[in-house]
Amino acid sequence: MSKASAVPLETALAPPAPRAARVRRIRWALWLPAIPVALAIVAALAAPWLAPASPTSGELAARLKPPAWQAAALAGRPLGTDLLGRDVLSRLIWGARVSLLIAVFATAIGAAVGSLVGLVSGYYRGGVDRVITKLIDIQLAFPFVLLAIAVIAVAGPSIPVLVVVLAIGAWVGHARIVRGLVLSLRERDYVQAALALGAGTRRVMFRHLLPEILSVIVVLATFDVGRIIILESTLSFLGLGVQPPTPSWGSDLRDAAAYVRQAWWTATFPGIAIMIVVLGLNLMGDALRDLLDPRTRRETR
Amino acid sequence: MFRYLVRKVFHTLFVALGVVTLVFVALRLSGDPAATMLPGDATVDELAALRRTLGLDRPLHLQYVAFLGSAVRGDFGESFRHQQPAFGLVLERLPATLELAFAALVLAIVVALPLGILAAVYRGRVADVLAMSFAVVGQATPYFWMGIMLILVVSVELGWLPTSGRGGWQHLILPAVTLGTHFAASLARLTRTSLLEVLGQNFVTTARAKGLAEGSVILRHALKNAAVPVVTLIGLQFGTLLGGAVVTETIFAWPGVGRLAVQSIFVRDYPVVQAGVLVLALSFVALNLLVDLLYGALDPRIRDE
Amino acid sequence: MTNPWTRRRFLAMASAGTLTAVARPASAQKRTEVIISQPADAVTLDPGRTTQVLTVNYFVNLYDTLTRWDAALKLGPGLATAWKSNGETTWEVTLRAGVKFHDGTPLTAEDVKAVYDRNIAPGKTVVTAGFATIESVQVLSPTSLRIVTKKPDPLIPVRMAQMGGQIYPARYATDDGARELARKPVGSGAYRFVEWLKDDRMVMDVNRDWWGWNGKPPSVERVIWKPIPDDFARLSALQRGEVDVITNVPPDQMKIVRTVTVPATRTVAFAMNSTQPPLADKRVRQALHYAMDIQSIVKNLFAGQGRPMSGGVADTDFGYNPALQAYPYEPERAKKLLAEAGFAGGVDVTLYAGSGTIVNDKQLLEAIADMWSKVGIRAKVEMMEMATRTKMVNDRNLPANGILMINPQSTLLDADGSLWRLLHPNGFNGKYWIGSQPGQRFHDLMEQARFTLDARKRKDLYMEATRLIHEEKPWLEMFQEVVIYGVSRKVSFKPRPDYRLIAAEMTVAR
Repeated sequence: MSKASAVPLETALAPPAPRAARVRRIRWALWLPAIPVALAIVAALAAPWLAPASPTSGELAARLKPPAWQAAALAGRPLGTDLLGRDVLSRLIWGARVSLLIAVFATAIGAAVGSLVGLVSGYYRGGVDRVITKLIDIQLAFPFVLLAIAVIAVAGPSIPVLVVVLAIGAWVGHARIVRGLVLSLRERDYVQAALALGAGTRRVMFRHLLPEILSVIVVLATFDVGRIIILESTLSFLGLGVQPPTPSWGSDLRDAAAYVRQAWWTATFPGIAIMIVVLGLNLMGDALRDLLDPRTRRETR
Repeated sequence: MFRYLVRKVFHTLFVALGVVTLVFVALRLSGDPAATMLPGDATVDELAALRRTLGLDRPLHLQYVAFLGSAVRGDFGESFRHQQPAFGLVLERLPATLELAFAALVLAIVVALPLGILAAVYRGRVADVLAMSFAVVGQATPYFWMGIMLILVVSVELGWLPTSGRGGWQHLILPAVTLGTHFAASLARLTRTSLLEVLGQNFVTTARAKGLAEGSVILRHALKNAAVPVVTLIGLQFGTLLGGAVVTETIFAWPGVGRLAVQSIFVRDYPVVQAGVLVLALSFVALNLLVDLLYGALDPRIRDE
Repeated sequence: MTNPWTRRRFLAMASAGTLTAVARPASAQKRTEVIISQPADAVTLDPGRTTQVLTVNYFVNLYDTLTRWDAALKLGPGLATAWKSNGETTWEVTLRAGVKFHDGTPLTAEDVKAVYDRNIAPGKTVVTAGFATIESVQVLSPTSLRIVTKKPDPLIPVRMAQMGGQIYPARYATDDGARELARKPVGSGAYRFVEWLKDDRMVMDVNRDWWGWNGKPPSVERVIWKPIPDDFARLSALQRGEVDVITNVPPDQMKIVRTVTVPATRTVAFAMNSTQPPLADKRVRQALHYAMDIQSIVKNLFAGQGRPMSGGVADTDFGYNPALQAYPYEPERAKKLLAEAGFAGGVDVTLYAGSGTIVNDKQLLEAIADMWSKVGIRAKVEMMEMATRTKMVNDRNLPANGILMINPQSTLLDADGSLWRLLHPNGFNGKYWIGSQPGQRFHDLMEQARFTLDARKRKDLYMEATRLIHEEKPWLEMFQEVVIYGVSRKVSFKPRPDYRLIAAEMTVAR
């Protein structure tokens, strides 16, 4: 579990192809999936102006009305209403804000903490490294969902707690991979040269190592955001996710899942939102990896 | 090799201890089981009496020591709720979870490996795109959503398979698919990536130059090298699999440890949670131990680390 | 506008015919069996260790009580054939002769004494509160015993029928014995225990020697309990015919399956901590009710399955006051009351509920908060994990101006077992309302009723007490629940208002 890998597998490279054509192909692979992600981000930022109605207030009598293209639809509710009569579209837009906020913050914290820990652990090795790897292994062995439940049970299911819990789930992956990367990079000639020339630890870490691992971190983080959006919905399934009346894709999907037969729009739209955003993020991650891979850049050194 | 083995075993034990301590602390912090067991009109005295009966009135460190002492002997105390030995309860359920986890694993491997190989070999063509689309979609679907969709479509609408519960092999299919999809998706992608990496390396070009058939190149040389990271992934993903098992077991009414552990956390049934988490963690660690040993056998460089 | 599922259904019909026969093993149904699915499995099979409604369903089939309620909730003989009070603190009880436990041993007064002693002893069971008025039980002969109470208790016959009153052999009334009972129950009931695979299934076979058949041959020969926690999966199982009866059908899903319903003994209400302003003012509490359109809530959120109520007592209980109606929806009046009380600028409260208290609980809180916001009552909604909620209840920790969803069971089918149980100073709501305290009119009325043997006098006391509740509204009163069971065509039974599923009352079409 805690072995050094030469280069982390997440950054394995495709066989070489003509550079210009490859870059062009990668550009497409990056911009296309970025569209749904960008849409989600726009929705998240512009929610108060974009949403046609209130996401938290509804008319009970107008509940479970279908989307605009069906017969019994309600005017002004293009995607229908949910089980409390609230506008599905507005909840979708505001839900983007909540789901992305949680995922981005949790990823950012997890990536920052994890990378730092991995950096320190891989660089200093020895006792520090052994302790840190043990900690990582202990947490990895612990079923995360149960850990999440235990923490949320203590601290209550508020958004800050959710962010922290999800960050806890995220840091380990970063730590392990960064550690592995640092362990191997440390041995490279230019690092050894810098050390021999008397460069301080901080300088070596931040000027020589960090730029290399930054691309890896970015790729990992992209995948993490998607993973965490899914985790949030899993926690909502257990009743531990975002609390009412705050909309989030995960909890809306959970609440609507039972209505999938008689009111398919209540579940389908949050479900699609989750899927295409996570899809977009994963494809972007793939493209970024191809683009930013250290091997490519090393070839031009 | 022996020293490697010994080191790994010690590591395992240490991790087990860490997990158990973590559980102990987390649970004690999170609430009082006596309060959850009695109906709402219990008096303060009744609560105190129940706490005494459950042994919760002793100081924390004494509880910890007593707990460790008996845990080593396999005694996790009696479930607060069920009045049965906690360890026994967990062991009763373990086969169900393992059955589900392995079914999911096998299903995932059987689907993902060929998909990944195909995608790598036909890189950039339709097969690649299709395979990878399936993979990313699979990774983008929450477990419970997939479970519900499968029940709705396959079980209710099409009537092909039972909706839930454990029974014959038909009951295993839907939960295994639900649980295994995420893993299959990441496995497919990883297989493709690592196979591509290997295919680009020198010794493969050499083998091709020597005139070996393409099939032989792939199967004998490339795959063996690509196997290493794949095996590692299997070991790691087992943990996520166990996590996904919690949701899957709940939806499909599968009588496994995941479901028991979640229920027990919700009612603060400490002994069962402790036993359950430890058993799950040990399974995970044991599997990874196996993977490490395999890894050590496959790649001598690792042993000397 | 076509239903997207129609094409699929056609395809399904074509394939289902062939494949279903293959997919489902041919059931060797030599006996008539009924498969029941509840959301949760039994916690324990020891009747003294849980009051959980779903688990009680197992008990009522495996064990008997001294008296019992029939499907119309009339109290009648059970293991006891006669009971008489001497007018003060003694009750003479005659037991039915010739009753045997499932293991063949005879049921005698010794067994009853052992069970009741265990129930009375502090800390041994969780049902002690319901037996708290009993001083001791004396065995007079194998088929007769004497119950001595601390003060005159009119409810002893009813207490004999309540949860925890199930009788098992005396040897299981010890700590070790109870442990064994929890796993391998031995009772005298209509069905005997066969096997239990936790969270998977429990099997019970008919007890042909049961005293309660009254000459009629039992219709159901085997009962199989299969717990399915997820609502969707449980409904789907019923749809596919994998189970015959399901409980806890969400009202919204009623159109999908065949259901039977009956108004129940449980109510939905919210306990309020009214020790401080603004909730300390009765006008504010009344405003909360006027600002809530309870009819709309029941109609839209619960598919009409609920009876709005007032006075704190369900119509199944003794002490129900039919003259009291739920407050109408009058938001203007609510605003006026708030202004009169000095809160024209609105008030702040918090709505709490444990996740899973009732179906659509989260949605209910959201709907109420939404309605209240229109008159200036700002309610924060907090869903809690069940364990946290139970802890809040048991620690008596409801914050000031907190409003917590409760789902009181009526343990005795009497205002004493519902209203007074919770509003008693020792009960959960007791410390949050001044009216519960000794010296206050409500307290005195209920205390008096508890020990009044004259039924008519008790009724008068309860009528006044419920009027007080209607006026003072220490609880946010909602509605009386309706039990909804999903049933397959094969099974028929009259649903009981007390949430009990008694297999002996079911008939199966062959």
